[in-house]
Amino acid sequence: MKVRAAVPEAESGEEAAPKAASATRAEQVLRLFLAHHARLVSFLRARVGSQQEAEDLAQRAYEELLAVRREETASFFASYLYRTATNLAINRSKEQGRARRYRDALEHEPLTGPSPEPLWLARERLELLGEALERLPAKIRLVFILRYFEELPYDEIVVRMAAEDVMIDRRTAMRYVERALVHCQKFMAAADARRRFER
Amino acid sequence: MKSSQPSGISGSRLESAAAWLVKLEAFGEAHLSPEELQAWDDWAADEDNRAAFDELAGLRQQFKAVGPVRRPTQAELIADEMSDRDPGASPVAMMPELGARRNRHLAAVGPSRWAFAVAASALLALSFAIAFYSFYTPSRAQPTLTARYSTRTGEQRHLALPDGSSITMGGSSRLSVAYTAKQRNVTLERGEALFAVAHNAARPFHVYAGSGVITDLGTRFNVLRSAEGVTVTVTEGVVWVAPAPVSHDSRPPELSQLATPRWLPVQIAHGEAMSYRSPGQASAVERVDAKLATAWVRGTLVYDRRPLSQVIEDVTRYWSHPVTLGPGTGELLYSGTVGERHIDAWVRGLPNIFPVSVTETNGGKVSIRMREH
Repeated sequence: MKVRAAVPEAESGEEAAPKAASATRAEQVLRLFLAHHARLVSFLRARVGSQQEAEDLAQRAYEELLAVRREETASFFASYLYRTATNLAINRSKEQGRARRYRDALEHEPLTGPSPEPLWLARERLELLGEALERLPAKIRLVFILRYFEELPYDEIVVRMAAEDVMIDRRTAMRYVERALVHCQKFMAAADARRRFER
Repeated sequence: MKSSQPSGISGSRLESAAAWLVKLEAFGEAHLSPEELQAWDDWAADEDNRAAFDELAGLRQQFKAVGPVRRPTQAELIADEMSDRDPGASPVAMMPELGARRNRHLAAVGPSRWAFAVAASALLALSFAIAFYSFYTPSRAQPTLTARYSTRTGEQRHLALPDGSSITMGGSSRLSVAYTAKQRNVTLERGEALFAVAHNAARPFHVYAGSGVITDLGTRFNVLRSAEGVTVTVTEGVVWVAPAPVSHDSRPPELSQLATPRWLPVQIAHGEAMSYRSPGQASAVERVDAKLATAWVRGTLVYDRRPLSQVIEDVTRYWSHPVTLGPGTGELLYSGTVGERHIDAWVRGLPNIFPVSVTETNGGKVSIRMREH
């Protein structure tokens, strides 16, 4: 976690009393932020794809919250933090185009997450992942392809599926993707367990 | 990522993680209500939930790198009865279908997963049985050694052992050595030690620390035992890390007391590290800068995003003042170095990097608290 956590000093030119009050608030924000940091980064990572970018956005949300001069309750803070971070994420993606950023993130981050593995291991994983996907039932597989390979929004996926004579609603399409994710994770876990014992 | 507990995510946790991931990443299509945000915040407050979520997010990132996946034909779509089957009713609904199209090397891997675990337990129990059989059957022909060593606060000690191996002990550490004809056993009771092992396949070298045992395959490795758990870092060669029998620390174990391993033995190599703690939790194997993990031998403690509580526990093995941490201070994350001879100045400097105050009583007790105004 990279949090430049030092509490910034109140801007100069202010009265002594507001200065003290804002220092207290800054610490309060810091404490609340640290308590929510891991959740916020996971939340953002789902939206922007890359861990690095999620951490950057979390940091910016924190800075933005510090700049707001208002007293908030702890319960209000959480949803405010998420909303601020969501807006930052949306703005950024508008600036850059989500698809392109997502591809960039993939190029810059190792395929296997934060701890790079030997290349052969990464290749083996990708091959296994391909097998996991091949084994998905037909409808789930097609929705999955439309979502993750063609990056279509769910409303568009519903239309494309209808063109194949498969009538599903948006909710079902999302449910298919959930099941595909669960399947792939279980499949990879089983493969990992097997590999460990073959070594 | 190599995970030590590849199948550790429970089914329902995994399903809710997938539901959240799909919901959150429906980017720009639907905004979440304050109630939904609150629901996420509550769900993600659970560390295991978040770990499952992050693992799925990592998996999803890999999809783009997978080659083209074959699109189903219209006939397949019409024939598909699996997609709409209730997965809740039969959690492995998709696995039987997989079995029908058996793959060259992954056939039936899911259903037989528990069989691996059983086989592993049996194998482990057997190897410990053999280990302890030989442990309690000393041969008179071979030189043996039984000794106990400890270091004071701030002290380092170098042990040269008769087999050519050596151990460097960190401050406030204690270990015992029991060399038999067939085995070399060391138990790290507390603190930290760097092991340089002379390889001898006929006489394996084991380090017992907390709930695990490290078996050397000719190497140098560091073992740190703290309140948090045990961290093993390899600087040269390869070691095996496995769950230890339940009561190794207290008394000679009997076979009936052998732990059912809750994590699986894992091999870690040069430049890698892993942690485990009681009962039966192990981290993923991570790549680390092994030089940093052994910098303590050269008088510098190095930390990368470590909770202050752990850093304080570690540095006080080199500093004889008792330290108490006020609420909230233990979770502050510290990255940087601490000189073993300059801990005084480092502690006094903490208010410069964290919103904390440091006070010292006449008796030398130090207290660190969040600053208040």
